[in-house]
Amino acid sequence: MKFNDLKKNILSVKSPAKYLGGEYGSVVKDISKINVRFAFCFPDTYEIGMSHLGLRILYGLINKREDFWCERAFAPSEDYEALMREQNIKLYGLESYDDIKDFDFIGFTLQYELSYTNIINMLDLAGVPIHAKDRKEGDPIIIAGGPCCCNPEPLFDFFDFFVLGEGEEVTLEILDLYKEIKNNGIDNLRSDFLNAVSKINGVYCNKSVANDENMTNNMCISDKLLPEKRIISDINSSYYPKETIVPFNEIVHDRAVEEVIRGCIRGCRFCQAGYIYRPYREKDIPTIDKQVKSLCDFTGYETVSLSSLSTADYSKIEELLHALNEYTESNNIGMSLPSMRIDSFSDELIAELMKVRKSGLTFAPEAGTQRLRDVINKNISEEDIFKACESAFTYGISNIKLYFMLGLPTETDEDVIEIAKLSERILSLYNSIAKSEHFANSKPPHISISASTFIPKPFTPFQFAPQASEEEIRHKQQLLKDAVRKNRKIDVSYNDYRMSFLEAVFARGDRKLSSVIYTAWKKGSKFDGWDDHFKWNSWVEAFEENDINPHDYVNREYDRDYIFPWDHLNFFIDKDFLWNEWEKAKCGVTTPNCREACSKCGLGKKCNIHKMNRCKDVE
Amino acid sequence: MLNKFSYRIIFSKTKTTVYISHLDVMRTFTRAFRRSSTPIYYTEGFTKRPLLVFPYPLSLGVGGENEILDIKTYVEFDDVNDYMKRLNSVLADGIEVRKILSGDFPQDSYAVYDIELPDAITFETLQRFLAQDFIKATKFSKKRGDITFDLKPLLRSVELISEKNLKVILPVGEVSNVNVNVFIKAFSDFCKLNPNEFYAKRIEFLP
Repeated sequence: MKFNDLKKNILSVKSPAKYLGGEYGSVVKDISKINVRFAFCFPDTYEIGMSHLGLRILYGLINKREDFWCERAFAPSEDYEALMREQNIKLYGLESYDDIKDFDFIGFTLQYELSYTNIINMLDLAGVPIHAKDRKEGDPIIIAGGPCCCNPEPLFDFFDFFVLGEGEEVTLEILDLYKEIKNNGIDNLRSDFLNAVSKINGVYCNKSVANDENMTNNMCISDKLLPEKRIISDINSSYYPKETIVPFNEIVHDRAVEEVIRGCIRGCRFCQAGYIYRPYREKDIPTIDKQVKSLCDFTGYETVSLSSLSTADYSKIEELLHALNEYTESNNIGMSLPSMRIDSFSDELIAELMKVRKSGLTFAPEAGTQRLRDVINKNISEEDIFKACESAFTYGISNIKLYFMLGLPTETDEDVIEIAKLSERILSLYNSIAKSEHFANSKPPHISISASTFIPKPFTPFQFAPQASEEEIRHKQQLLKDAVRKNRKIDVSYNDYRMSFLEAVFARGDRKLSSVIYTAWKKGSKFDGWDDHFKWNSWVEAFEENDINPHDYVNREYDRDYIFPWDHLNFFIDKDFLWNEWEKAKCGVTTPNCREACSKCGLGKKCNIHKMNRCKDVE
Repeated sequence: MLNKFSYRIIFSKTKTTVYISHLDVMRTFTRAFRRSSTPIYYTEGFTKRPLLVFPYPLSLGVGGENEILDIKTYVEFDDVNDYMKRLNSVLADGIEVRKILSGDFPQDSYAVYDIELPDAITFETLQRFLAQDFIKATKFSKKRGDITFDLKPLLRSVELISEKNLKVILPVGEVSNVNVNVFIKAFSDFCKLNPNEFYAKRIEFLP
């Protein structure tokens, strides 16, 4: 495709620029000097995909190599997809406008389960065979990485292989191997490469594990080598992009992003990221300082976000903020600190937050009672919540958003009603502060409760737990709604139970689900995480036609010996540890965070918290 | 109060940047000024923003050869050409600064557009369009919705410069203003052509 062909009729679609590339920081290369072409595909819209840090890291990493070229492709919105199909425009790379079907690699990132149909749709738009078994020499190698690769089985039919864990090192190893084989002749490039690639650590190949159609759960592992996830050797010296893309139109997270921590010490029992991104690693202050400066200088962004699963856990957070302050203040740059835990909410941190965001704050107590917060190992008390809200109110914030989950293991009606009562107590706290501090022109307080449905995910202690049934969830949603009905200062929002159900099915599913995903896509399913696109009926039919009962995957409790579809993938989390955590959860016994005590999760020597603690002792 | 220096930036808007909104153009320049450490004047107030004045903003889908952006700086540029090079090196592909002028500038009244048509039309078709007593055009108002009005008295000149290119002069500014897309819609309706296949760009401004 040429730019002049693409612009034909592009004015009929919304935000046309997102299909035309050319942004500041995007990389255009001379094709005659390129050996390996890689299409990084994000199975959601441009605005969401461009907000994803992993894309920016891998894009920069691959493009730093002179002989490689990484381009981007996103799921087109409905209007542009219609135009593409009508004018026979194949899915193309945003940098060269060349069809990605002619690239060497097409790599997808698996961020959430409800984007799976978008993958199929993008492969179809690209014009490549959707099923791996149908691909021949000359077709691109189609691979996936990202968090959902901790159980990639439902997508088994579509990919040539999966890459487990952190991509910074393994991606280049894969591309280098490919280049080597390509230079030796391209006659059997595809099959030679696929045979060779399974030797790379972190690659889970279609061929590396026996592929018997009937073996869905009890998979036989031929060479007893469990595919394991990759962990980068050093977060400080690891590649981090500074010359990154600055989109023309507004995206979801339109700011510079500096990753400060990878992994999490907390061990909340529902949280998959808390387990699969282990070990816990902090970047050191000089590295962060240097990266923030070069990122902001290059992009011209006016806000930098210090990103991690729980930024306040950074062991020298105040020192870090001081170090960055000099640069950010003299350059009018705001700092944003997402993912702050309630118990870490010091006055100093809120002062920092207030420089950027003045409107409202979001906290995630997750459960309404202390008992249930102990079950999920959230390890925050009601006192922590009140203290955090108090400092927020004192700083003039009157809008608080609270995240909860419904359907958590052992949850009772009382736990649900307590969500409402907790919110009311927060409101009275506001009123008493407003009275004593004489808020003159303060806006009336408002609390938004967002209650999502709990999803039991692989590699968490709750992988053994059932998901609540539709009836239970509807009952609990109604209960909560009734409990806050009297109070107009509190509102409640839910997500669609059926979406959470599907997410659970595909998070936990096995290879048999590939055909269900394909059937549902054929029936028009895509953008399943979007309320306005979600087609429940096509899923119901797809399960029926493939003779699969989705409830088998989610609505039952599993015992210790049950073999899950993801058990053959090594994420360095010990299954016995998860089982013990599950047993403790049912008794409401908490587990201390990794800094307080090691809970022997299975990482062993890969964990460096002991090392860090020693450093702390020396101080 | 610090001294302020006024500059007029003349830039082109081509390639992808034809398809970005005016808000996106503003954002692009704001960030380019930050990247190039331009000593630009920031508005006073709670949220500080650089003071950028685009006297004649362009709609999404319309290109430009000599667009205007007026800025103020705290420091006078020693060498404007040097600064222009620096700014161009940090601007997205498609936006290019062509000239930087200093001082104050009078208002313009007209703008010249080049419109590429999806299909060849004849001189007679254009004549018939212009000969109408009432050239029906529609513009959208947030308050009143679609408003139909007569374009005829507002058209300063419409010429066929090749069989697929029109040169159109339309009023711009506060007194009288016609968005080129309004003209395209009116003309495409008359010729029964798809307005999304017209490519317009603004060439220059006239006093």
